[in-house]
Amino acid sequence: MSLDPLASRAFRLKVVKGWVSHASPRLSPEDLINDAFEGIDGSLNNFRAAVAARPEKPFLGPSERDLVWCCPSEDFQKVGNTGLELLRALGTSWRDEDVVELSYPISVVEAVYKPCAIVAGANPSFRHTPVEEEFGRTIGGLREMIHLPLSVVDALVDGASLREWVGK
Amino acid sequence: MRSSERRASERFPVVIDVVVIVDGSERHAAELRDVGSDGVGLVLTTDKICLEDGASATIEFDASSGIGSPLSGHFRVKPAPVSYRPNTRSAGFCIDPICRSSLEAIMHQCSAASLAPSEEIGFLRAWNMLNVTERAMLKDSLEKIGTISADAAKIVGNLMIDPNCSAIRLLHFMKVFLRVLRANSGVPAFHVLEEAFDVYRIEHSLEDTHKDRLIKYELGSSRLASV
Repeated sequence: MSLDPLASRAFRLKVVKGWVSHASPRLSPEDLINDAFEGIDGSLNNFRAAVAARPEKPFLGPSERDLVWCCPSEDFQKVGNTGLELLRALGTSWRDEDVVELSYPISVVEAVYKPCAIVAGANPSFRHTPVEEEFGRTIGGLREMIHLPLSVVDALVDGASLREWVGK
Repeated sequence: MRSSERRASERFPVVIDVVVIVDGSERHAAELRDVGSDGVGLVLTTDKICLEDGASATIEFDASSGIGSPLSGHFRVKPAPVSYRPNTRSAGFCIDPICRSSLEAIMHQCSAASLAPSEEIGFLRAWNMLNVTERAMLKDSLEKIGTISADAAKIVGNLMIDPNCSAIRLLHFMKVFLRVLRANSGVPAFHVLEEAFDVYRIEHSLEDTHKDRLIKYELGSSRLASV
């Protein structure tokens, strides 16, 4: 088991399905995602290969030009069990949606930073950056941090995992 | 308290780039950090000289500051707090009586509409790099936004007090904000702020990232390993 701290990001299920829309005929996007949720042997590699097969590389941020906002994974684990509770904690405007948590070893990024007030202000869900704390805070109170753009493929290394958060 | 006494106790936090001339020839870059009726506070950019208590000097201002007359006077230097670092960079500067009117003019300039709405050093440095018109526009807009809602007030407050915001980053943002403001006259100030955040994110966020405070999150693994 890796001792690397993990960072987590939440994505809409339909976004994650889009990542693996170029899956091989042998495995549908749903199969790939469900296998990864269950942690079946080799499922992460299959998922990664399907993402890598996309002509356009997906990134963890909105685009390859955007900073990536993430939380320490242990903060996600303290939230309840439903996607709705997670969305509230993050402060997003999404409602009643199935959410996928992608957690990845923080060692795959060069460094993580506390966003300044200007950077936080540019994201409506992450506008609070308490002066006295090492991390920023989401609107819902989770610790948050940023790092430079990272592709999904590059995040899917050993130690990464996908978790399903059902909407209601 | 009489008004003259109140005036005497006033000190205005500022950041103004100056040149300090010691012994009539040695020129050293410095920042004026505050202005009061009895003198000014100075911080030298380097510690290559040893400031001496009582030594005479002259302060020259850059033409862009709008302050024409130099100030002459002498240093008031406290003993160095630690013996292994004797060169202190900060000092008080008592003004010669002959420069009293110049000091009054600087105080007037600092106390009027151009007084920064924050005393945080990064904010003051960025403020120092704006002209008088830009300062007035920015101050007016930030004050308006701060009254809209508690959330808006929090966002504006964060901009002013966050020590994680370097001066150059704040300057980037202020320039973007003013550009958006000029292009959207009549638009509510908070919408202008949101638009400015969006433009800043596209134009500057990646370039400015490395000025953010590094989070030592990787320490989590070493803690686990030591258990």
